[in-house]
Amino acid sequence: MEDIELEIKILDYLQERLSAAERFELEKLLKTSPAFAQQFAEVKQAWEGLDLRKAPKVSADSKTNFQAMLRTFEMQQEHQSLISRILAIFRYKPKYNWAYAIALLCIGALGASIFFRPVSNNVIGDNATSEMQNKILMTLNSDKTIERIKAVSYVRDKKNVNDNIINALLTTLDNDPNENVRLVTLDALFKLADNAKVREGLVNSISHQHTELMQVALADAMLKLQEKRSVNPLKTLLKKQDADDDLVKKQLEQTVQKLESI
Amino acid sequence: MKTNIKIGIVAIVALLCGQVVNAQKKHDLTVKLSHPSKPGVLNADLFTGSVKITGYAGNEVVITSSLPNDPDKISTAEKDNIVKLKVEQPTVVDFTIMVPRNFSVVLKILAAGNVTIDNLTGDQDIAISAGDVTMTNIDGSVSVNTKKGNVTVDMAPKMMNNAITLSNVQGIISLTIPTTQKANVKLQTEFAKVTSDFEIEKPSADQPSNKHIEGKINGGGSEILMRSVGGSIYLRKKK
Repeated sequence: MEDIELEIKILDYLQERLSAAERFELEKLLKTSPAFAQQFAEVKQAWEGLDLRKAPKVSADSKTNFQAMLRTFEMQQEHQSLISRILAIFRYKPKYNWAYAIALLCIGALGASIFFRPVSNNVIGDNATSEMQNKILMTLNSDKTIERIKAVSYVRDKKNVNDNIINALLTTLDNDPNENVRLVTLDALFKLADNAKVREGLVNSISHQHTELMQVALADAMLKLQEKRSVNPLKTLLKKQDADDDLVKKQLEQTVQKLESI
Repeated sequence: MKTNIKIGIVAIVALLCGQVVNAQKKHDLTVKLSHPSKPGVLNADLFTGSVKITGYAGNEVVITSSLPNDPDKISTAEKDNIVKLKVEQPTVVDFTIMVPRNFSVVLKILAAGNVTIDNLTGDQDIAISAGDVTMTNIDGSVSVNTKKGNVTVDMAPKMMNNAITLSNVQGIISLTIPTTQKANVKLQTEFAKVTSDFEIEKPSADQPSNKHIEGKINGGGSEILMRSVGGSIYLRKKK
C-alpha cells in the first residue's frame, strides 16, 4: 500500500469510517509494523491538531449582522443606480426629440379628456349604468303589464337615454299587446323627441297603431312636435276610420288641418 | 199548536238553507293555493259578463258563477299561487270571486262586462273592450284600459309608490288618492275637461289648463297617467 493510501486509511479509521474487516486489518498492521505505527502516530497527531470540531462557531448574531450589512450595501447600490437612472431620463437627449413630443401630446390628451369629460348625471347608457340598462331592457319584456309600465316610467325621468333603450321603446310602442303600456311609452318617447331617431320612430309608428286612443295620442304628439312628415300617414289612417268613430275621426282631421297650415 | 208552528218554521228555514247550499254547490268552484297566505295572482280571461272580485281574509279562491259548472265552458287551474280562470267563447257568464287580500288581478274581457274590484293589496291589470270599471280600497299599482266605459278608482288611505295608468276613449275617468300622495301626473282628454282639487305644480305656465294638465303633486313621486279622448277626467283628494 502506498503511503498516501495508508494515510487516507488512517484518517478514515480516525473518523470511524472503516468497515469492521478494514479496521481489523489496520489494527493488525499497527501491531506488527513499527514503521506503520510511527506513521499512524504522526497522522493522528496531525488530525487531532486540525480538529475542526474545536473551531469557534459563527454566532447567529454575527451572521445576521453580516446579512444586514450586505443588504444595506446592495440597497445603497440599487438606490444610487435607480436615482441615476431616473435622472438620466430627464437629461436632455437631442436624439429622442420625437419621443418627448409624443409624451407631451399624450399628457395633453389625457388632461383634456379628464377636464372635458361629460357630466353623467341622469344618463342611462354609460358603462356604469349598463346593469340598470339591462334591467330596464329585461323588464320591458316582462309578461306583467304593470312591470312594463314601471320600466317605461323609469326611463321617463331620464334626460339622456342610449340607442338600445330607444330601440326597445320604439319596439314596445309598435308591438306591446297592452294599450296602456303603449300609451306610457309614447309619453316617454315624446320627452326624448329632440333625438332624430325617436322623431322618425314616432312618425313611423302611426301606421302601426290600430286602436283609436293610440291614434289620437300619436296625432296629438305630432302636432305638438310640429312634425309635417306625419301628415301622409295620418291621412292614410283617416281613410281607414269607421263611420261610428266620430270623435276619433274629428280629432284626426283637426290635427291634419293644423299640421298642413304650419 | 205552538209546537207545530215551531216545527213548521224550522222545516221552512231548513229547506231554504238547503236550497241555498245546493245552489252554491252547483255554481261554486273553490281553488286551493299551493302556498296559502303568500301573494297570488288571479288571471281571468273572459268573453262577456260582469265580474265582482273582493279581497277577503281567507286562503282560497272562491269562484261563484251564474252558470252551472261546465269544464267545456269554464276552466280553472292553479300553479304556484297563480289561479287561471278561462271562459270559452261565446259563453256569457257573470262571476263573483273572493280572493285573499294580497292578490293581484290580471283580467281581460274580450267583449263587454262591468268590473268591480274591492279591498286588494296586489297590482291590478284590467283590459276590457267595453264596460265600467270600479275599484275601491286598492293598495297596489293599477292599469285600467277600456274603450267605452267609466273608470272609477278609489285607492287605499295609505298608498305606496304605485304606478297608475287609466285610459279610455269615451267615459268618465275618476281617480281618488290620499291628500298627501306624492306623484307625477299627466291628465289629458281631447273633447272634455280635466278637473282636480290637487294643487299641481306645472313645469311651464303655457299649458292649456282644462284639457291637459301635467306636473307634480306634493313634490312628485308615483307615476299617474290618465288619458281619454271624449271623457272627463277627475283627480280627487281622498276625504
